[in-house]
Amino acid sequence: MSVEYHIRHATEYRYEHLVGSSYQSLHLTPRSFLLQSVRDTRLTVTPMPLQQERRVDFFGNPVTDLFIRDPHDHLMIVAEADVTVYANEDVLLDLSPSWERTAERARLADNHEARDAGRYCFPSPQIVLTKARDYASGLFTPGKPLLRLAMELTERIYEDFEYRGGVTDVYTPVPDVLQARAGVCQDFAHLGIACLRAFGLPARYVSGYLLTRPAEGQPRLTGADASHAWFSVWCQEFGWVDFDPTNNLQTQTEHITLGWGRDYSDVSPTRGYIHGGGTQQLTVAVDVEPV
Amino acid sequence: MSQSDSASSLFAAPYAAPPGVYDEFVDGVSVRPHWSFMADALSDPATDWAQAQETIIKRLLSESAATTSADGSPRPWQLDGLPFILAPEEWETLQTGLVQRARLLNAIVADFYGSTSLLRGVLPQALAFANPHYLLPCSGYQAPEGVFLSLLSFDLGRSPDGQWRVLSNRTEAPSGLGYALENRMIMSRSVPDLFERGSIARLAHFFRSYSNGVQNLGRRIGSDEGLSVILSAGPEQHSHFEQAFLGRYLGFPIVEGADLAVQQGKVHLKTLEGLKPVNLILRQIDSPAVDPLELDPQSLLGTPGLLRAAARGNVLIANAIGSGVVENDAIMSFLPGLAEHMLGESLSLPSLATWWCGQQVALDHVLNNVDCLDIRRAFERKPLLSANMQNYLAPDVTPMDHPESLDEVRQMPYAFVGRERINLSTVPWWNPAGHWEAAPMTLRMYVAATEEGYQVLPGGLVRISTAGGDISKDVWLPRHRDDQVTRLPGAALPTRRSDRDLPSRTADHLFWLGRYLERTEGAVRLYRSLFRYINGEGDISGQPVALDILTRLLSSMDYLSVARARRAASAGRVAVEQELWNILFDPESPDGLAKVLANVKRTAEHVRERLSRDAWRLFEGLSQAPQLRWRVHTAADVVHMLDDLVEKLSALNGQIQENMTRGYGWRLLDSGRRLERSQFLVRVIRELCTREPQADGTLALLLDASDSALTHRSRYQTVPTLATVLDLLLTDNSNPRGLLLQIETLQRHMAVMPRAEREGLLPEAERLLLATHSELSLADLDKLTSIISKTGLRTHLARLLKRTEQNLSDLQAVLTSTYFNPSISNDKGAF
Repeated sequence: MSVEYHIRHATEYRYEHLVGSSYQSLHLTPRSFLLQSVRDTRLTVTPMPLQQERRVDFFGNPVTDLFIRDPHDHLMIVAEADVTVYANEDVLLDLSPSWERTAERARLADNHEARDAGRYCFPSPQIVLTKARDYASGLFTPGKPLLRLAMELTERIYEDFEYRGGVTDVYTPVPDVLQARAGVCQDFAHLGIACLRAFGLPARYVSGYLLTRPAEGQPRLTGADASHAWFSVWCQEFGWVDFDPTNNLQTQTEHITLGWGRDYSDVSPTRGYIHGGGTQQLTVAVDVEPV
Repeated sequence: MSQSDSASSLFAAPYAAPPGVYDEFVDGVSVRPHWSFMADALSDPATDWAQAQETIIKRLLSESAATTSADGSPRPWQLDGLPFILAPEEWETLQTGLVQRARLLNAIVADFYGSTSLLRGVLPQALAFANPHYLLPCSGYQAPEGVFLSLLSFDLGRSPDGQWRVLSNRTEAPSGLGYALENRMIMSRSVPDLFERGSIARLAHFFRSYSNGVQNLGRRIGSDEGLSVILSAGPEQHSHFEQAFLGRYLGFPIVEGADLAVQQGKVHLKTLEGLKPVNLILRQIDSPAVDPLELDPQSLLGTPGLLRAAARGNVLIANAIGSGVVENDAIMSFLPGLAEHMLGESLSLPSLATWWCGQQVALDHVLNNVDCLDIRRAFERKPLLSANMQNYLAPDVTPMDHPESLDEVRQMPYAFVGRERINLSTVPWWNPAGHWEAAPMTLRMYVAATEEGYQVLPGGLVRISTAGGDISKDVWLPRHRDDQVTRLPGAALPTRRSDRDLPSRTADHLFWLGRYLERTEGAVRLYRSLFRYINGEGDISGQPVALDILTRLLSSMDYLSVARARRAASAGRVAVEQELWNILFDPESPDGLAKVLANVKRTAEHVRERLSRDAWRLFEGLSQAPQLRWRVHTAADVVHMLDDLVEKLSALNGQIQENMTRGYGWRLLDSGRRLERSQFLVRVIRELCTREPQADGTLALLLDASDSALTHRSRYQTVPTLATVLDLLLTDNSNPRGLLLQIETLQRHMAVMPRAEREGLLPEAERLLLATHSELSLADLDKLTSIISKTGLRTHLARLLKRTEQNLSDLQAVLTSTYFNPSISNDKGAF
């Protein structure tokens, strides 16, 4: 089963004063992989950048670097893409290998996949592991199938935490999220990853989108009007399997992947540095339409 | 023979080494042979060590060398007068071992950021991926000639068996080279005879080779005109002292992130003449801070786009960004194997034995030996120079006291190591209490990439740990008799930068230094006049000036609010004097001595490397001045103190006038001074002269505050009149304190400053000055003094002053936008 989407992601900055020069590093182009193929992408920036270059980052995600030199008090970045998403069908959670065995494989890193996975087992710039271990230790019973455990972790976060904006920001560390018992998708993804890594498991951060308007009779998912984020866990022959703790589900075809990394800092959609500008107002509009 | 004598008889004072450790100076009771020339000198009754040490301390103070203490506050850099003597045969061993280590570490860094072949089966992946100093955005970077590490340092300790062991590798941004240089300069001046007698290896050759090496690498990737700069965190960092020292020695400008701009992938320095290409950046800030765009977004020290510019090969950053990946305890246990694997050699200089807990066998070993191993965080970088040596060697986890602390080790074993303890060797130092004492020591050595491969500094830094804190020692390497002293005669250091490359930010600081200095001087003179006049001793007539004139003057300079000034004036002389005391001595008062002098000092710190040592000492003296408050009790004391300050400020001005190169920097500093003086004059004249009737003593006060009383007396030999005073202060271009001369001087400066060529148009700054100059020259003194409106205003004078004030403030704005804050969005640069 597969679904085709047209995605439009508009980011708009309004500045109090003129910006003299602006450097932007964008993770706004979806990547292709086993469960997703990206056909067409387009990036429109106003004012016109003096320099615009595409490259691929350490994780294989497409990045666009911009340098804008025209003084401006208004910056508009529109990223569009046509993407086909394939369902990760029939993942039988209870048939997955145990979490202990998987952690061991990642540590030994004895083949290409395990080696790649083995890079995601440690603390990273925005993820410390200390408090997360205590939070999740009840779930890690001996021999439990890893994917079952990941689903339970997803449920647990969904139930324990309130989805509420303004409690956290993009730099909030995991222990503070645990303390606040509230946050947004990024915080929940970070927490899930921290819990898995605290037990030596490979987990990564996925940045992407949700279907904006679900089919008749289906509930609209939380986080659909902006960038979304969830986590992915490596489970040996099952590969990487994605879980969305914000919506308490395993992803199917309603999640579109932009890219992945160790945490938010590796794949933040727009990262920039400007000279001047004063205070800024940011508006983000995301539209994900099936075609 | 001295070495056969008993050690205690060689010293004027006795020295005893503690048992159970290796002592560097004595072997049992005999002096080790390579120290014998030193022991001979020490036993000479003519050698007064207490005296030598005192000289050294004075020299250090005069340089105000500082470092950072563990709590972040500044701590004076300390140097013991007895150098550490390195045995020539040991030097050979250390040299071989350290060069090998440098090659090995460079190869590891190159692999981690390149093919990562080591991470596929040779080393556990955790050594890179659990290491916060492994910066993924740097992966794929190809260093020119494969040199990632241009400069390394190593801390060594000697264990009781006499074997040197490496305690740590420094690859991120090795510090302390400036201190080593500073120590050497002080030592060679303080004990020149000893230095000559020992035939000590010089350091200059190393610095030249290092500098040539990195500059040549820089040239491979950029144009020959490209600049080399030192990227520093600025004067707020206490190690700025040594960076400034090193920068001055190598002749590289010291810049901060904000001085650099990346445009279309190329790095430029913002200078007075616009953007200039930069080839080489000697990085003195930690890697993550270098680029807020791709690395630490919260960094305020870096330049956006720098990482990409380096990755594209458009600039050489040394050491390469991310070099800190091998500066940790964890890698130590793998070095013997890696030396075999990568170099086909065995590791010649051992590290302190280390077990990385990420491997089960090592973890078990560590957990079974918690009583005799130190458990430390595997990837934490520990500074030595800024922390105390005992802390630097201390364990992070203390399971003997806190058994539960082992939980973290069991849960994240890859984040810990166990390390052998070391009983450091001891060395004598002169305790100022008046005796020799043994103290444990570490030795820091430096290795640089040169065109002939890695070279070791024939010197270094020794740190000793004493009850009163850590102290440094210079490291002396005696040359063999047949060894030629390599000192290339006349071979100059790399070309000094010309003033044309003056960074805009530095230009800004110099300009403001000029302003602040003048502002301070103006304020001090004004306060002095006020204190004199309030007591009626300033004027020939002996009449006190009306209090409301004094207070109006204070409020016109914004020293006092209008309401408060009025209140004080009506309350009488004592109240006004009280207000003056408050303004002057309250540490919180924005116009008080403490704040004004602090402004001067802070601005001066930003341009420290451009000021002579003598000038710097005068700055230091100035900033001590507010503490004199405690010796001041009466108005006469204040006047005396202010006299002293005026004298100090004049000395400082003299220093700067005499000793600064007449380049753009000096011109801007002087322009700042002239502009400030002009504005001050316009304000006081407006306050004191534009209104009728003229109060008694006003003109004398004006002449006193503007330092023109003497000139007036010698020229007119009469009681001042408004006409004579205005002539002297406004329109006479021979009075060094007069307005017209300030404007003419500014015109001369502006005429030679770099500017954009726009056909037929006079640059804005020069236009403003020309307008002011014409108006002042053409002014009719009769009209200025005699045309008075019904409300008692001298309208011509008021108008002239108002226009002048406007022109001067426009000039400030033009200078700022032209030179100090040039928009980088202009192709031609800073115009």
